[in-house]
Amino acid sequence: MLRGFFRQDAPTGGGRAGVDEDPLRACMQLERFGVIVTRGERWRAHPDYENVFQAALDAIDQRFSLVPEGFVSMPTTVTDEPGCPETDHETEPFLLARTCVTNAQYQKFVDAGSYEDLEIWPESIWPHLIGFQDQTGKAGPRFWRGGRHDEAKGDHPVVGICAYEAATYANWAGFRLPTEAEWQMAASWRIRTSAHVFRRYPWGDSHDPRRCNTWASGRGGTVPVGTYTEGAAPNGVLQLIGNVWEWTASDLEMTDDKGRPVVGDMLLKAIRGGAFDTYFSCQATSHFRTGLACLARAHNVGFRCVLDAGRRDG
Amino acid sequence: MVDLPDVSAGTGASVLQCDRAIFTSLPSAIGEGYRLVAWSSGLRPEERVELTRRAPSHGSLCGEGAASRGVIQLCLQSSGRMVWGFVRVAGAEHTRRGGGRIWTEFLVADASEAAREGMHPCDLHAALAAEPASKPPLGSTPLARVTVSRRGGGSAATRDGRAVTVAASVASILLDGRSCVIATGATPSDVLDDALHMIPASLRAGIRACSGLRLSSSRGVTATLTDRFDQDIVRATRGQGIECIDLQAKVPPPGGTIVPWLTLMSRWWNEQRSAQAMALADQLSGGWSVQEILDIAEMSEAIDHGDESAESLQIYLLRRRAA
Amino acid sequence: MGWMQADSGDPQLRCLICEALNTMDVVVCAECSAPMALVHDSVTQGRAPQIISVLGDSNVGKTVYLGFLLDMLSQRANEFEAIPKGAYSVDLQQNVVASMTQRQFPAKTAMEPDRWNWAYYQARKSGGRRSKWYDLVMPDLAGESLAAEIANPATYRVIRSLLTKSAGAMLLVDAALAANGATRPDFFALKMMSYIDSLFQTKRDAKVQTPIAIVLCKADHCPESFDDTRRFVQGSLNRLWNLCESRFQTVEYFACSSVGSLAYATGADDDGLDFARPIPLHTSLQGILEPFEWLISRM
Repeated sequence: MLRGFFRQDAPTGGGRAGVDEDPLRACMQLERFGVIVTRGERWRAHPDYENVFQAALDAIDQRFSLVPEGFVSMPTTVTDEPGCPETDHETEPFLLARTCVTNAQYQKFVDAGSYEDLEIWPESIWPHLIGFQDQTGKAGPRFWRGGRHDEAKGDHPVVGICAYEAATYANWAGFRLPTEAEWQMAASWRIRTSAHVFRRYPWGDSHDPRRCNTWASGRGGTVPVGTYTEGAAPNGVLQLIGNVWEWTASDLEMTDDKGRPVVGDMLLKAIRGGAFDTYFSCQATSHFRTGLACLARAHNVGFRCVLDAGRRDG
Repeated sequence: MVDLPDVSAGTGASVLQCDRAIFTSLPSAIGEGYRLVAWSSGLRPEERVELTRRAPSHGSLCGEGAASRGVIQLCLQSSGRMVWGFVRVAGAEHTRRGGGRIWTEFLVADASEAAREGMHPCDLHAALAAEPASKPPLGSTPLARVTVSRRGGGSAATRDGRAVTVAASVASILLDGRSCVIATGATPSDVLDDALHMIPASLRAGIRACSGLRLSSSRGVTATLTDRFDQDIVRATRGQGIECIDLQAKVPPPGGTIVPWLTLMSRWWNEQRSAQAMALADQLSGGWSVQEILDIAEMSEAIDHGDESAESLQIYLLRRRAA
Repeated sequence: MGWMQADSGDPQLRCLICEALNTMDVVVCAECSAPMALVHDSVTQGRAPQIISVLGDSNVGKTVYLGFLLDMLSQRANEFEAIPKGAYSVDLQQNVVASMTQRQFPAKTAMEPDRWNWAYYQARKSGGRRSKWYDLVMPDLAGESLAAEIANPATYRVIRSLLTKSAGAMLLVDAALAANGATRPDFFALKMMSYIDSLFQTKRDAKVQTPIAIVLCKADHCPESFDDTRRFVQGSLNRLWNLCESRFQTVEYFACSSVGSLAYATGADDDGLDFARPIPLHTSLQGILEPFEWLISRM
């Protein structure tokens, strides 16, 4: 059923060529499944709406996993030691993407002319849009060339994008970034049961370089998002630990041991999970908190999307 | 016991002219970190080089609290002049990398004048404290030279019996001139102060010691008074001919020819006559020989026992001064 | 051997760094405080270790760089095997790792030579029958000591001895400051290279042969330094560039970073003055091994 919505002869070049002129089909083609499912009312009159809607649901079902409600405790000081002050956060159930957004997926965002479409970006970011360029001066992630990703890394997480690029993509696709608490819930799996436990890692409590791509794994770079299946969370979400840090929607709010606020040269956004070059295993855990300048386009930071459970039209 | 006459009367002011330098960590447009940031115009280039090498840098004080302090007294190899250093914590270092910023004020004086005056470091420190604050930014203008006057008599210090014993022991070790590290427990600089108060002024300039600082061969001193021994000290001293003396374990009795003098000093301190003891020690400046010092000690003991009159000591001192 | 000398029947050891004579039972050299284990091991193995000097201005990141380098080698990064010779050799990497995991930078390195950390390692790149073991000595010097020695040669004779005996050197430069337009990194590097030039220069027109790796530290502040390091040096450290091109035969440029994200704890200190304490939020190592690998291959 999905085949009819994709052009068989999709060209390999960039730009809007190859995208269906029908906006509903285009959304499907561009993998904007969240838009179809949550904002699809405008297409109710479309003759293929039911089919497309179901296809989008199926796609979300394949790509997302449910994270049940729970609660997390997050340290508030930079020194994360037993007994340090923490804040508790309740989380509602939500759908979390099983993998980070890939280069191939992000290519669709770029090809759709999103970097030129001011309407989808926060107005405060407009002056900075001109700086969101690749190595050849084209709009796109920092390490791309000519507006294209490295074809050999199509299934690797997209990196070289700042927090605003990640958030804008997520919104464009009809999703959003997870909050810090939601991310930690997904990685620690802290459900309210009589057994008051949480996991240090999605797979358990011991660091294992065979289950995640950190420095200890010796890879030296990103790997395809579908690998390291042994490090999956109970709901099948992959690579929450390692490979790339992941942008969250939360600002980083922390203090030092004397209660002094910790700030950066610009707004710090919380990132989680560790990356391929994270040297200390204690910095690639479900509860380790850190942040990065919101406009930083680092080589080791990607993101994944979230859809609120039960948020669907139709 | 008969109280001695106030022999400090009529001593006259002793004055020492000193060059000054400040060694600390300050950021500037052309450099940052620990270095000589200001000095008076009389400080010679070779002295600046040597002071840079000798000066304590980050983390050199035994303690890290604001009350931690260190004292250095040595002779510069480059010029032969005497130098005293006063070390303290001065806020946080600008890179904020742990520990307080070390601030050292140096005073440099002619060795023969220093030997003649036999100033106690307290006199020099008091002169520094009386100096007006340097015009910012530090180093923009040469520091003014410092005129140090002996305060005379010294202020009374109350010490318990153990502290007096320790001071006398350390004084003996310092006079002996042997290479050593002395673990004094808390406040090693107080121990050095007391020991130097016990030493006659004419013998003080020969002391090469530092207190309150971690052991370092860069310091150029013979004796280091620190708070405790650690593995670094054990490692640094092994095979080097440096004696390790732990006063918390055992206080060695004073030795050498100066023992009768130190015995007198100890007794007076224990009898709460420290002001008198310090005044007498300060008065013995200007080239008193060891034998003359021992004669003074013997005379003082005799006066206390009533075997001699108090005036006999005063006459002896006046005659000696006239000569 | 030349390291040992008998004098009046008492054998003495000559320090490998400053060549001062020491008694057999000393742990550190009485003159320069270098570990005498260097000599003992050299006697045992019949060869002198190769010295790599890690140089740089105060606060450029020498301690952090060297600590991570040694720790990575200890963990067999890039197929390197590295064995510390003596427990004291591990102090530096342990100190750096402990500090950075606690989100603190290590304490400032003291200027006194007897408080420098001396790392003595045996290292080789595993794989291949001909992989060679290197005995490496890499002391962690204080930047202020280097500055003092450059300003007044012979302030620290141990530095002069060290550099004269070095088989290779790394000069660390603050890329973040340079990228902001500050000239201090360029001038310090210029002075340091001029000093090295004066030590090794034999003929006026002959270039210095000792391999030197110019390592741009804190490059996470200026990612373009990773993209084209040579271009960055040429643009932001032009004085250094020109001197290297004209006077040094074997020079390469590298960018590195150890901090993934830097923040500041702001507030007032005990004196009521505003301050900003830097906090390394997390560690992200880039370009740490490459300068070392290049140097080893050129030594």
